[in-house]
Amino acid sequence: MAVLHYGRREIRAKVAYFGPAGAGKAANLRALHDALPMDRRGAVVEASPDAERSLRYWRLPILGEPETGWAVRFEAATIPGHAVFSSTRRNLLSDIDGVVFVADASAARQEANRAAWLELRGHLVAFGYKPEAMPLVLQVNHADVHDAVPLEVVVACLEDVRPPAVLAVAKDGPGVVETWRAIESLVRLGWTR
Amino acid sequence: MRAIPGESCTAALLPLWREADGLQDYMRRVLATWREEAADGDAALLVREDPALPWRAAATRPELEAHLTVAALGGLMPGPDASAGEAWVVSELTPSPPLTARFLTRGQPVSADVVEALGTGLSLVVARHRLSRADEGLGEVGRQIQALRQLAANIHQSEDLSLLAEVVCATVARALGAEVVALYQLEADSFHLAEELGVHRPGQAGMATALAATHAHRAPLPADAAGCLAQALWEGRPVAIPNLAASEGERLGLGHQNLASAMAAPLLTPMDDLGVLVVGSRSPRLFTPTELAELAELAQAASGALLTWRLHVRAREEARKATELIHRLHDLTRATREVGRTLDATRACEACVRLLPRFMQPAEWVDCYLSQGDGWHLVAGSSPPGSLPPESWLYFLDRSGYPPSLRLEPEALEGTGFEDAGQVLLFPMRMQQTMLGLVVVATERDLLPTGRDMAETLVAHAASAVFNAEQWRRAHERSITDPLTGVFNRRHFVEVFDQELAKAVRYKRDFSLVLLDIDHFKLVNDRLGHLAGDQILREVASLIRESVRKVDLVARYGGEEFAVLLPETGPEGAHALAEKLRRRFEQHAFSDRDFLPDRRVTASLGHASFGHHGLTVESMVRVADEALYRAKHEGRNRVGRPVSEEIR
Repeated sequence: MAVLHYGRREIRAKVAYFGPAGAGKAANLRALHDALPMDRRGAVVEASPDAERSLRYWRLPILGEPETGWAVRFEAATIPGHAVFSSTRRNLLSDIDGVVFVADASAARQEANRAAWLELRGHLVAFGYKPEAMPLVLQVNHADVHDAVPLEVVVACLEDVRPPAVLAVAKDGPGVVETWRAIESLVRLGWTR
Repeated sequence: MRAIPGESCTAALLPLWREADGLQDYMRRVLATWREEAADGDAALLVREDPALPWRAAATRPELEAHLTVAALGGLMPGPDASAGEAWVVSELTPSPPLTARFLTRGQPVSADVVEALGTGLSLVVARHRLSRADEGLGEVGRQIQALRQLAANIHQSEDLSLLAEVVCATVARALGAEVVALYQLEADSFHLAEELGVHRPGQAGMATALAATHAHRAPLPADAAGCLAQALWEGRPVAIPNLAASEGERLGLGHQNLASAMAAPLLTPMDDLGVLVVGSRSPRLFTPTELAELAELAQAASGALLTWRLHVRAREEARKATELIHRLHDLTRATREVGRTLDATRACEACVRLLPRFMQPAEWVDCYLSQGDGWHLVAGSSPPGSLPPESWLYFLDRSGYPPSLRLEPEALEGTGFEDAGQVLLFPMRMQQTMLGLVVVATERDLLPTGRDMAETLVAHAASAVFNAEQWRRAHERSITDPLTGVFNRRHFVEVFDQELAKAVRYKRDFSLVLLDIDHFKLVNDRLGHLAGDQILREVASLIRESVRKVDLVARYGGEEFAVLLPETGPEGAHALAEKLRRRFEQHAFSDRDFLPDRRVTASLGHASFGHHGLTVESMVRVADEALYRAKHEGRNRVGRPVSEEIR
């Protein structure tokens, strides 16, 4: 959810990268960090919000273009797909403006994609979001693996939702910036209402 | 007798716990499976999560459920069902404590496998449910703890109020999932909007409007017109306003947020009321006691943060003031030293006028007047030359007993040319109950608290310098003047004589000396008394002074003897002056002359000129003295011609 800081006229928005374990969410953030101009992004911060450090997540601050006189600051954030407690993973989604669903193109991971999608959907509903109203971009990562399935197969696991989809190889960079541009413009589109 | 369900039934019961969503669902699933497996066998399940809790019951038939619950509550085994005509068989299950459970069937008891499967299933379902509840609870508690921790961490980091307020608002918005959060700071009985956050969820309309909104109303809100803010402060606890009127939203300065409901929590410390935290919703809603309690807790943490910030700011401000004061005291020391360094009243006043504005910024106008006889004159300052302090101001000073400084009322400025000044201060320069001078300062606004004190100190030093200068002048005058006649005394005469002689030698200038002795002065004293004699001496001195040039020096040389030093004057000039003096004496109407022989006072004179009659003080005095005695000898009332020593 976009937070409007009236004092300094600044919008803060958050985009979560969600997906099954090993789909390349953290790799997305690192590649995005490397691809963005230096004055537009901060460092990738690995944070541990709980004292026991049992939970970790990564954050990347990104400075967007101003919006009608307001400065815009994004935060791209992700959390490992195999976190033990689902509710802590859910917290990542509690105040977001958009989601990048990072799916794995590998045929063997299609079940995991589907499970992650159902979990995401469940969390969004639990937080009172309408999943169809949430800006969403599907990134099909690991597009270069030998058993990669066609895009349509991956999309099929999302049931009836048909978000913009981007093929990516996050560890090398292709598709990462395109994914960010797509989700950023979707989030901003929501602000014009 | 029906068949007892066998292994297949156990196998069907075992995995049920995985699919079950909660205890009740599990119980229903168990009974449904039982019914399928045990071919129409009625059964019921009674479970108690804790001996202190009531039994939960489930049965294959709904009408049985009510009966079983009642029976179980009575702590009794259910009796034979009259309608069925068959006894219930109770099998005690063995789930993990503190769970207790009973499985009720008709007819024969169930097999041990089933008892174990059900016990395990129940244990697993309840354990999983507890775990997930704990997990949920942990999430909530963790979120709260994290929010409070975030606030605490920022206390020390934020020196900037807006930053601190922003952190507080963001934390509260996050922790309570609020749509609008605002923090008002209470200062001087007014609420100031320190920070305001608006939260827009994806898909929610109104973001474009929010972005286009400007802060039309950010003015301080007086406490007595602050509605819910003041209410929260008065009550000292969070208040919920489920139906916030539009006017109230406008008044809070949050009109553009279209608030429908709000909670307001006071930011209190034992010392101070710091402000109010407002959490708003754009759609009408009620707030739960938990939400209010959470807001209260966050407000308490925010109060701590805000108080620390306030104390920090205050401490920093005090430190800055102290440093500034030390600098200003250094300045004052230097200034007083400069003012007190001179023995010239005018220069002391000029220094005072020049240095005073340093302590009274912004001083627009500084004047310094000195008392002179019955009047005043402007010594230094911004007023045009010849200005005088208004009589009324002096009257005010007198009436208020000459305080170190006096601030004039606006009406006292009318007609004085100072009407535009924010304020005018009078600093009387007084020493030993005497008004020596007056410093007038006009400033635009109120001075710094210490400025006036410092100005008073500086003026007091200036007054002391003026007093010293006057004392010194008088002492010096006394030391070189003859107290009776007011002309110079012999000591000063000798000093100047030496100097003039040196000049005459160095620059080859003419220079003469005239000596004068009053004829028969003893007779005057004898006939008229010494007082009259003194009067005659005074008149003589005055006559001489009137008759000579300004550059000439007149001194009382002895009892009735006077001397005149004449720079740039040769023997002829000296003789002419001596003759002029003799004639004026002769013609002057001295007081009491009627009682004197010849009814007049005359004098005999002698003179000597440098280079003509002598080259040293002694020789010149001797020559002039001899000439004087020659004149006396020749019958008085005449000028004796000098005879050069060298010539002799």
